[in-house]
Amino acid sequence: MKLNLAKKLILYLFLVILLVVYIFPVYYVVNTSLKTQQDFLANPNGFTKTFAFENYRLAWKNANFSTYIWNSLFYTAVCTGINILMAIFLAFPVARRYLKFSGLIVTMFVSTLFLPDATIPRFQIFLRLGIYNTRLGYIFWMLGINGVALMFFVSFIRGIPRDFDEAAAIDGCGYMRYVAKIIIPMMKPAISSMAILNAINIWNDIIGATVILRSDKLLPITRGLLNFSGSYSVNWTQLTAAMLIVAMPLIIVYVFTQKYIIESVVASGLKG
Amino acid sequence: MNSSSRIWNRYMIILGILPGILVFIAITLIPSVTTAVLSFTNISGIPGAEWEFIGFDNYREFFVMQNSRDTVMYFKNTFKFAFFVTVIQMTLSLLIALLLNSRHIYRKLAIFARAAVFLPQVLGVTLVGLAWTAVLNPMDGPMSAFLGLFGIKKTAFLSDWDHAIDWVILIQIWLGMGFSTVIFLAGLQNIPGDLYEAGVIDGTTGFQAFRYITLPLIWPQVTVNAVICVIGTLTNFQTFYVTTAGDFNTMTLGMKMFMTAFGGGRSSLQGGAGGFLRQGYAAAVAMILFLIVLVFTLLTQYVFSRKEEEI
Repeated sequence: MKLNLAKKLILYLFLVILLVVYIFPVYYVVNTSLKTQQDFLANPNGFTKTFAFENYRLAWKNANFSTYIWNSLFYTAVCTGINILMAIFLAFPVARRYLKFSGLIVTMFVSTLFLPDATIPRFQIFLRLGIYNTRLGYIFWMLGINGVALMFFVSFIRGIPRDFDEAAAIDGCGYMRYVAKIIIPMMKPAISSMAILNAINIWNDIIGATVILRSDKLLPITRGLLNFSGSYSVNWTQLTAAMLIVAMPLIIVYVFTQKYIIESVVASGLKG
Repeated sequence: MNSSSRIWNRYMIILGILPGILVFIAITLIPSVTTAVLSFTNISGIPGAEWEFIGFDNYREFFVMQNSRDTVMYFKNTFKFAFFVTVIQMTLSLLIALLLNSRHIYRKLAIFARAAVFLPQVLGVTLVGLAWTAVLNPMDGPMSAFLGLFGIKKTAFLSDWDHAIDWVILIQIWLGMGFSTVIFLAGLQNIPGDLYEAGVIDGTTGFQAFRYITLPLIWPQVTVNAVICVIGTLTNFQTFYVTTAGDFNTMTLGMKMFMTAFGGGRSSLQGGAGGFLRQGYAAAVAMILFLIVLVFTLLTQYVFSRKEEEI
């Protein structure tokens, strides 16, 4: 009994260390963002005495977030929507083996993980197509079906009985209408978790934006934040406030959907 | 073929897959393969510049003509980063997964801790990199103060010429831990509890139970994590891009590839283009990195599947 208690205490000690390691940086950023510049300089590591929400207003203005946030919302919505639709219309016939090369298609998408980095030729192609430094170019840059999402959809669709297909086909329901009206509504849980993962990836992208966008007015917010960090690297109170502005949508989504996000990552990781 | 696919118009099915396939071919497959072609040219990222095939010159430049101290550094940093991140992250995340899966830990607290460890995955490399830059602020930052408690003298952290890469390794482990932990946790949760009960009757100790029951059963997760981690760390440049920008002896092959092709470093954070965007040369670096990743991925898979037989 005594041994058990000691064991329990040690385990909880490790758990506390783990939580401190993971929560401290977040706490530190929040704490710093609430300090006035003087408070921060006098007392960089102590608990904040002020609630300087002014930092958020200044960061919003100085980092030019009012432009970037609309860009990011636009890119994220458009790319996530297209990516998910493409993945569904590919996953359905693959799952049902309505096409000859179903197995090959999945292998092809998964194997991209091992291919050479495509960034340079892709940039050259976009440059020659005249879509460098355009919204269209950035949207195309972020398009693509994730092999993991494809496998996730395929295995989900296999759980939907084939009888539905046959009944609908015999009743004269066209293919496109069937997928749109019957399959998509049944895939809601799978679609929402993959859409969230995809949206997070697009919101967080900096590499695509660095490569394909030059004009300030086209940048997504995360790239904008990185630029801001370059010019405000010593103004920690404003920089941390800017970081939290960018993090806020992510944190809100995460708080409400963390269970689904983690489960879908697990499901896709185990198949990969 | 069954009845529904015969009734449905085949062309509609093909029309449905077409966007995904075309995007894949045009944006992923063709560019990826073309990297090999461009590595034999002197193409640049400057619009309208002329270019031609130059044979193996880029490779010769990388291995023979450039300062060998730089070349050695790129390889050393790439392997050091990949090795330490993979080994430490795999070990720690397995221990964390065991901790969070322990029946001694209050369930809701374990779920909260899992969410906390996974949070960096959602925040992404930019926010994580910037948050750690704040924590590792050499001027009275919290890490500096913390180390001071143990009498460790001040260091420059991410701008320390000798040790900056160690701090990037730390940041990468903190960032990647959530992914490998949840994969391990899922594996652990699939192990039926009665296996351990049988073990208790047979008188196995805690370590024996881990070695002979847990480890063999989660070996698939160990392999998945190892392969993903090896590929991710060998090709990583995003973490360096937002923390050190390749300065302070932290240049890796991935970072060299990206910065040669697209500029970068501190000046580009303020909007400067920087560099000559020598993308033919950068493509050669990308191909070298590709071969390394290929060899190490196959090696990892081979080693772990051999081990699977032993276990």
